Amino acid sequence: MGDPVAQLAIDGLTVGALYAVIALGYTLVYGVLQLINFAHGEVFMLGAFGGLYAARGVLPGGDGAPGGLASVGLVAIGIAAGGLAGAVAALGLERAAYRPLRRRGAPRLAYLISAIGASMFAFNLAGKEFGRQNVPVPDLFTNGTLLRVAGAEISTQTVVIAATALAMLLAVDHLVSATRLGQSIRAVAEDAECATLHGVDVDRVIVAAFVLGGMLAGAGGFLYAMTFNASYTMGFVPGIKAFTAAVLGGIGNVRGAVLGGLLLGLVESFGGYLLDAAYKDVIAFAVLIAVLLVRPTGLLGARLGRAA
Amino acid sequence: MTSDRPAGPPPEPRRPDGHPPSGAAATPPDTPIPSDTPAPPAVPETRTPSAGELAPTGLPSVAERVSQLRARAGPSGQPGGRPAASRGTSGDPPTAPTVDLRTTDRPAPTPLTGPPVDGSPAPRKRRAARVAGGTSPRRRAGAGEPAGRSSSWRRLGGCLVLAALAGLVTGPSGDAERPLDGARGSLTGERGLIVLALALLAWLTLTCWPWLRASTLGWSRRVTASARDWRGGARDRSGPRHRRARRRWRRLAAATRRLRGGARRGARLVLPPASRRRRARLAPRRPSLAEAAERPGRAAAESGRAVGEVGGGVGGRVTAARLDEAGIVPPRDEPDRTVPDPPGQERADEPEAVLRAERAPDPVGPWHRTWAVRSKWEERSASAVPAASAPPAVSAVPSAARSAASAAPPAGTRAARAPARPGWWSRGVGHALALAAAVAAPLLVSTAAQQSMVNDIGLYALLALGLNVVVGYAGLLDLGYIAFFAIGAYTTAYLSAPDSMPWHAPFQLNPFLAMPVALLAAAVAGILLGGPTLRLRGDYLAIVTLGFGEIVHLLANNADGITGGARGVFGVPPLSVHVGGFHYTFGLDPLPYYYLLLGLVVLVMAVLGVWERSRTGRAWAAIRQDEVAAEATGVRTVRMKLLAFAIGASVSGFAGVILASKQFFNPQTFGLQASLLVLTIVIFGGMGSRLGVVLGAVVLQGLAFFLRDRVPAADRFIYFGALVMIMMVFRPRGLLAPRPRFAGAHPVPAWAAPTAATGVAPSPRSAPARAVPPAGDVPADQREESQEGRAP
Repeated sequence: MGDPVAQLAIDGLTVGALYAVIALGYTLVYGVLQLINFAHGEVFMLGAFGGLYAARGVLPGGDGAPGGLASVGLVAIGIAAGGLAGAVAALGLERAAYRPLRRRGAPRLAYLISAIGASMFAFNLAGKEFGRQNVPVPDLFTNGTLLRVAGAEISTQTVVIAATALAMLLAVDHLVSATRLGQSIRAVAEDAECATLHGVDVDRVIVAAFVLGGMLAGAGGFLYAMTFNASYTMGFVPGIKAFTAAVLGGIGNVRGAVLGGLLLGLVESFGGYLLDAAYKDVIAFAVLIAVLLVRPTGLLGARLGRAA
Repeated sequence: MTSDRPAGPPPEPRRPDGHPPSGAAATPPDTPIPSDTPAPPAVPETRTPSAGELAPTGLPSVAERVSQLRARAGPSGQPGGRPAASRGTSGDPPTAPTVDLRTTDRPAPTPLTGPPVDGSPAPRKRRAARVAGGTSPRRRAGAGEPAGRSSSWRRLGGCLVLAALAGLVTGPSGDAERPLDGARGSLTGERGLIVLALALLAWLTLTCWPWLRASTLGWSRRVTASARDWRGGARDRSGPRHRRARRRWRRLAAATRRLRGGARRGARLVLPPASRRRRARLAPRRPSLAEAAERPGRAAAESGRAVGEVGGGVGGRVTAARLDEAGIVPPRDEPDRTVPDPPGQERADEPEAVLRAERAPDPVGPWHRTWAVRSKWEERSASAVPAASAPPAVSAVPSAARSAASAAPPAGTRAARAPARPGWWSRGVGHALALAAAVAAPLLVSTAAQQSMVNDIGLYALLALGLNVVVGYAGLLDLGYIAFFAIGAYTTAYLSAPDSMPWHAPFQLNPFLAMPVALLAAAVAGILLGGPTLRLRGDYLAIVTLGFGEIVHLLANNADGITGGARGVFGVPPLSVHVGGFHYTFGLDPLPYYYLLLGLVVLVMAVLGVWERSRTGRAWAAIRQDEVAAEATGVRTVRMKLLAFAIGASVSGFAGVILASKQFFNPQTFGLQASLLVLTIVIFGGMGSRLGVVLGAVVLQGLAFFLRDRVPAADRFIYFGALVMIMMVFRPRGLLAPRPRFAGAHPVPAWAAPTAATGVAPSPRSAPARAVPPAGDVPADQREESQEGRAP
């Protein structure tokens, strides 16, 4: 594989786009609540399973991967189902773990603990229901080298993942910056009380942020599972990495999350090549510590919300 | 389900923006409410008076005022700016004024008044109109506070979902190839019917709960409460449970009267005259905000306390005469109102006017008094206080009163309270009994149970004690706590066994001698991890520790050349004692380990107890409550947090030594699950309570042991997760709540009280917001819990 640099860059960017998609969920929730959603990784995992089984359900029988329009449709169904499952999971999460505490004006620690509890519940229940081994996503299209750029092979899967992630990122960016919902999300992020005074329904905005983040995470989960298989523990590591990405870009900042995700993907890809692939997670973690030490507000600073 | 419980005393008199764009419009939504307040019995059980009730009717609230000012100073250049807001209300006349604030309690989603983002005003107007028009009562009721008819349907839905989840959790497991097979198995057929029946039963129970409780539980509670009264003398009856019980009984009494025409009968049921009179005589008076404002310093506080006590003995009563004097007649003609309730009772559900009259001689004008608003959270914690660890009579007294009483015992109440306060000996006897039970317990059970008592209960009790320092005392969430356990274990293996790990020390130590080194290593690791991250906010710490735990796990698993990798560590020599002529080596028998662990647990508990009562402990409490304030008052927050981290880590280093010398271990022992298990134990037992934490370990792990054949080990964490969530919602202070300590003699002044939890503060019903912060009459020990860890 001739020149690894281009290949590594492309791999890194692909994974990074996924991280960005997940990181958006953290950032949105952080923006409106000033809380890190610890159970976001579980939303991601549930979305992956939702997409997986939906795609498996509609997959026509026969051997070999379908092609053409069928593939596109299957991928779309998988992503949509993943997004739906993620949204439902996030909604339930908000209802069960956040809202009762919000009503009581609980201290901050309580939210973290309750989210951890939700996370424990969700991923162990998933382990019980879906089995505790890896579940591969069936081939939805023929995965081969689509094109070569500077000696790097770009597979169909990469293109699918990158294109979908990009579309989602653009959509969310538009949603947050240019729609009414986005406006209220930003208002709540900036000053929730003030937003209340202006007639923004904070509860609804919080739910919207959860659902939006859950949809993204679910769709991202399906995309992630296409590459790395699904398992009930799959939410944990990508969750931490996406959080790192969000912090790297500046938590609370939507575009920062995207930037952070892509950067983290690159760093991880190159770092894993230079050191050892087994230590990819350690690299991401080191990045997190370094960012927190050097620049806790992240690269772009916090624009959507207040940072540490 | 949870949402239907009464949301406690009213939050904050905040009214949604958009309703009152001007001062004149502020009144219409208000008018029905004050007329409603004087008759609390008319308010249904599940719907406590919330917004608007405490609002000063004459003046606009702060929120209103701000909104008025904002509306006036809105973007004048924007044609859609301010008119949009007024259009939101004026274009929708039927909904806005008729909305009952008590039921919906949410701000009308009128459009933002800010400048439009996407420019052209025309589509924006349309959208605004649509949004404003879309806020029909139906929709609002659907999304708002559960009230009225839709709430029972929502409750039914909640019950169904919960029952389905319960069915899933307890049902057969699924499989990757046949996904949700378990779900199918658990939600169809017989099990499905059972689940459905359970859901319906739960729904019925919930729907009829007020009636059920009043008609059944009320009696038993009545009996136990009067027994307690009889035994313990004065008790603070201002807690929510008692308030609710009183309200219920009053209602029952009224019904009885109506039915029979007998006047006094029902009232007798409510409060037997003897205990009522005694309570009225004995109940201590809580410091009011006015008093707090008068007391700048501690000495002043104490003297003021005594004065307040004496004065409160006479003047603090609500007597009908006083009320008549003030020109206000209590609006309900309850028989038990003629005899004064002890002050401090029922305050939250009395109308403001009565309370003002009650405090008439206070030197501070009524407009200075901020009403103490207790959120549900505080109520829960309040009711959790008299748990077993805390002697009931003492903990019921507001701790402000107690701490003041220790210095300058108020003459009026001392004699009354003295017999109720248990002596040191009763607590000592309790502890001795518990210790004796702990010593005797392993002798009565099988060897398997003994092993479990060592490996599961003893070790985890020690770990939980350590994590309790971090989570319970300092209020930091450490999700990678087990990593320190691993560090302790691997350090022991490194130091004391030449061939258990590929990488080992050139010498060999007895594990007992390795203990201090392991402790130190764990503490240093804690400091190294905490150093960079403790300067940041709690959530970062949580996720960094999560990552740290995973990294340590990963390293232990993958670094074959150092730790031996996934196959684990074998052959660490067992603990042995060689002192003089005495030689003893721990063998395979779990009993010696059990007693060793028991001794360690007791030792750690004692040391931590001393530490908790020290200056350091007070600093932790301060940090937990409000970090910014602690720093401002001179607490070195980072250092103290580091100390907590290091202490917690070193305790788990202890456990690591025992683990390493007792049995073989592998990296699987140190997975994320173990961290979460320790956290669950701490949460379940009671954050900040040493005894509670140990009890949590005993109960949870004991249950796990007893149910090991029924519940697969892999499924255990489903229950643990659910348990953590349930505890956080219903009993956030755990099984044994810590005794309130350091709650401070000085009530927080109104301006210094922090805002609601997330910094979001805002949904008006959720928590008191900045405009009217909680203060004043909330007892200080409750305030501590309500404030800890809140966002700066």
